[in-house]
Amino acid sequence: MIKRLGSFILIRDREYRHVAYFFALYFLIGCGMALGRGTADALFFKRYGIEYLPVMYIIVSLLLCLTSVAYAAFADRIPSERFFNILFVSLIGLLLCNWSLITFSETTLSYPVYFVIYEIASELLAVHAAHYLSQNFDILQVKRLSPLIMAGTQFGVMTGGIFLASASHSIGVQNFLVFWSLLLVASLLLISVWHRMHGTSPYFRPGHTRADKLGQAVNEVQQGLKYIKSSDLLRALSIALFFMVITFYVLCYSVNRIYTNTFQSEESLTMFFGILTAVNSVIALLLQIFVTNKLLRKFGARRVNLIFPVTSIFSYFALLISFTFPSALFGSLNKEAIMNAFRNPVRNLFFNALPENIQGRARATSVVVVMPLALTVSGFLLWIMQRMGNPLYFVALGMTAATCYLFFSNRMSNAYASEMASNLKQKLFIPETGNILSSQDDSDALFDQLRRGIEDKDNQITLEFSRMLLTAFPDRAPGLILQRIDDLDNPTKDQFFKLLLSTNPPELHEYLWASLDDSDSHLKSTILKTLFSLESGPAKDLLAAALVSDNPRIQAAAIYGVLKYDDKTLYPEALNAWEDLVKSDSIGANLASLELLEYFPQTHGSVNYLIKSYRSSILRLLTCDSNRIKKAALRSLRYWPEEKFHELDTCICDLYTSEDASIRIECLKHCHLLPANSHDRLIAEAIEDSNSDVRDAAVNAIFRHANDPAALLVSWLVTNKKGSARAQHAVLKALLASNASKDVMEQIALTKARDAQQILHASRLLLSSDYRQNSALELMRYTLDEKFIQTIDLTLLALQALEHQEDINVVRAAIRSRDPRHTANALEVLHSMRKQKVARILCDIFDDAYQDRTRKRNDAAMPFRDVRSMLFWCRDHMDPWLQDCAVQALKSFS
Amino acid sequence: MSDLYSRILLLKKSHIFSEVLTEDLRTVAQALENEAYVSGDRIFDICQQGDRMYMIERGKIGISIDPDPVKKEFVTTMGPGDCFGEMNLLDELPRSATAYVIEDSSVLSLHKDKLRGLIVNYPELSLGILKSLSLRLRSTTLLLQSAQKD
Repeated sequence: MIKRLGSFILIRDREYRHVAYFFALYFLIGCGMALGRGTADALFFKRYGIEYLPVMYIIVSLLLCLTSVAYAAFADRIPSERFFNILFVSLIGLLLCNWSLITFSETTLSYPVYFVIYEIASELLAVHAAHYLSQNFDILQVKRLSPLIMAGTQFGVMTGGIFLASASHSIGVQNFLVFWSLLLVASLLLISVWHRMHGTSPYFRPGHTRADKLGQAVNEVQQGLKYIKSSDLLRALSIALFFMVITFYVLCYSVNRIYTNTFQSEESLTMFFGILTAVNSVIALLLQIFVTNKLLRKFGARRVNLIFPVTSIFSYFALLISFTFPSALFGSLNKEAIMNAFRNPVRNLFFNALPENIQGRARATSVVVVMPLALTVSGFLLWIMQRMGNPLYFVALGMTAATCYLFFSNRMSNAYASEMASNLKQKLFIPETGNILSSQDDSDALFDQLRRGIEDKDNQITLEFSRMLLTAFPDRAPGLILQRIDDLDNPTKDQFFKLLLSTNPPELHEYLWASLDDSDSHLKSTILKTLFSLESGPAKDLLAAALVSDNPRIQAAAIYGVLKYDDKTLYPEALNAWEDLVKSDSIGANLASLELLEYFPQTHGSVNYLIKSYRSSILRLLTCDSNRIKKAALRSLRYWPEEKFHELDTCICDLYTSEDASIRIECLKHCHLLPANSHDRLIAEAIEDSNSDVRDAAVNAIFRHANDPAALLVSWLVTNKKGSARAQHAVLKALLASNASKDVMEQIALTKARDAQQILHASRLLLSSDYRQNSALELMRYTLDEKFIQTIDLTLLALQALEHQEDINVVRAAIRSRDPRHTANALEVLHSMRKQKVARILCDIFDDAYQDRTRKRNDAAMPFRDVRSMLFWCRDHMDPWLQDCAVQALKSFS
Repeated sequence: MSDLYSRILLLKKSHIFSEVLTEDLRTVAQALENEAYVSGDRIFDICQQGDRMYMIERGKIGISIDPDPVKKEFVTTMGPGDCFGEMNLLDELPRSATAYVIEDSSVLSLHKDKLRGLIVNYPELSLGILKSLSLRLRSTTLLLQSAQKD
């Protein structure tokens, strides 16, 4: 029975004792607060005068500021349970002294003093209670359990109210102070016993301590104020709090004015306050237990945050229409029930989105600065407006404040998810997107960094830094790069010349001429080709000699030069040399001739007879032993002048079986030259390759040559439901890069999310069976776990087209971290996403607390109920590996 | 269950391959070689240079760290499903123990050159191996911390 109730109100097995403790503690605190509220108000309004209420607000604000500085000094330094003890002891002393003054002294100052004591104590206790909660539960638990735990406060308030209503005439109003003191003693004892058994609060994080506590406290508040400037969430939260305080206190004043005029004696007023408190607490309690967390789960903290501002506007509207008892009752319902049920739990969640080490300071700042400021403004404005006589003036003030409150609450809601994502990003060490060039503002610092990079001993690192230097500083880079490459070997110089050719700096010409005579034949051919491509005048004189060179690369460079300069006199000689290179038995000559394929379309039509020789040359190169030569031959095919090269068919299909992934990739780049059925077969095989680069190359091949590649891939993925998770990943990445339709991506995300749910259900079914006795089922279990993660990845990848990529990265990293706190925060980020259908499924999957109930609901929708039917489902799944494992499992299962 | 799938399951249960996807373990499973030993054999000796890891299909192997490879004082015994010698797939250090065949055994071995060849062509294998090593390091650190506290 208890378990069923616990499941209904979302308590997990290990949490019952904690929840019971917090419920009891907050019950005692709530009970005391009810006694304090009712008696402080009644005594002050009747024995001192409600007209002094605005002045009291100003006094309370100043005192609140001072006491809160002291609070800020200790908030993060000591465990919150110890701070509770300090608060309780202080309050007990003050209450008993005040009771003595009221009972045995004639002074009327005791009533405003008692009023102030209550106001300060209630604020400090409320702030600290929330802080205590966050030091004992993680964010997911806070979200799930805080409405229930705060319901303990409501129970207490209700009980206190009933006690007030029933005993106000018999006990005497002032004697309730003694009862409140007794409740505080009980709270003290409860906390002491609990922490003696369970130790310090588990999420307490002490900060650094300094000798100067006051200075430290001021520093804490200053840090909090500093953080307000940089944090959108804290800024919106603080401004919203400012207007909330004005809204609240103007409403308090308004309704209390009506009640004071309605009830003549302090006993009847106290009794009424007791009844009002009890009734509003019951309403608040029912809302907190049965409504709040359901709304939080369905709509998220962002939307629930707006309920109280909206109802406040309605309260003022009612008061504007009719400043009478019924409107006052509605106002009281709003500020006591609706605020406690919706605003307080949500406010805690928003604070928990801030970094842990700043939460205490942020709360302290709100109590030290924001609330006192707002209270002072409220008091001042009310004091002026109550002199005008007509209550409409201050009701209008309240309405204005409530409207501003709504506006800033909305801004708070918008900042919540981004703050959560930003914190997660820091905790999970997710780097900023973009490369070194995009992240630097200071160009001198960037230049220095890149310059140091090109001095690296590793040639490839030097090359990459040179590439970046050339991009970022095209004027300054060439000189530096040319100085650097003096020490490099010739093959590396070759790469650098090709790099520098793209910008054609003036220094390059001189460098090339200076290097020509000292270079080996390979580098010489590169230098000649570079000079020819720059159409260097003096270089033209080298053509004739180069054409008759023994070295095929130099000859090829010369042939290129003849084409480039369009030298008609050397043309016949160049063509003969070209033919010799193509038909030669020397692999070196054949390879050199491949470089000329790029220029084939530029040549005279009579050269087309070379194509036949090229065909046999390439086929010969593709069947030799060296992978390097095969790759060179494959690369040259990108310039093949014909649309098809059918003779390649057998060759490419054989080459595709190579263990070298780079050869497989090169095959895919040119599979469009093959007959249609070979091409399709190769792509289908490649898209399931074990190497991710090969899979990407297969998808790129589709994008290069299909008529409508996006439609083709969507059809493959969605309509025909083909491919393993990894193949789908490659396809999705390509669709994302091609800006596929958002509707399609949403459909894919939804499909994948549902698939993940089904796979998870399959995994759970298996776990609940005797799978360890059967090796095939054991393998099935591993496979299902892997497929689950892969399917979640696919869902998030598809969501990237619809949401902020950084938020998706954060969610992905948080889920992979397997840390429950990070997962809980990731779920909050998901709640804020636009595509709630998908986000809700993901939240269902990862939010353990809801799984028991939602699982039963979702199980009914699953296509299988037992292990055997699950295996049949897996056998028919689109993933080939899952199918294979399921087939094995079914064989052993029978 | 067929031989290939049994091998995949064995690999998945080993420390070094626990974080590699079962799909990727197909290529590794195909590179495994069967070896048979009779009781009394020594698979490798302490301080010997090693180049492969072993997984026990059948039989019993005793591990000894005594510097004398002939002495049979076992610190642990291993049975079907267990693997040993896996660190030699990645490092060049000599064997840290002697492996004795207590009962007639059938083992699957993986040579490090084969694994390296697979890693070159299937880089995702290396990611999975790195993840496994990282998780093992974390759990060792936690064990050390709790031992220090005791």
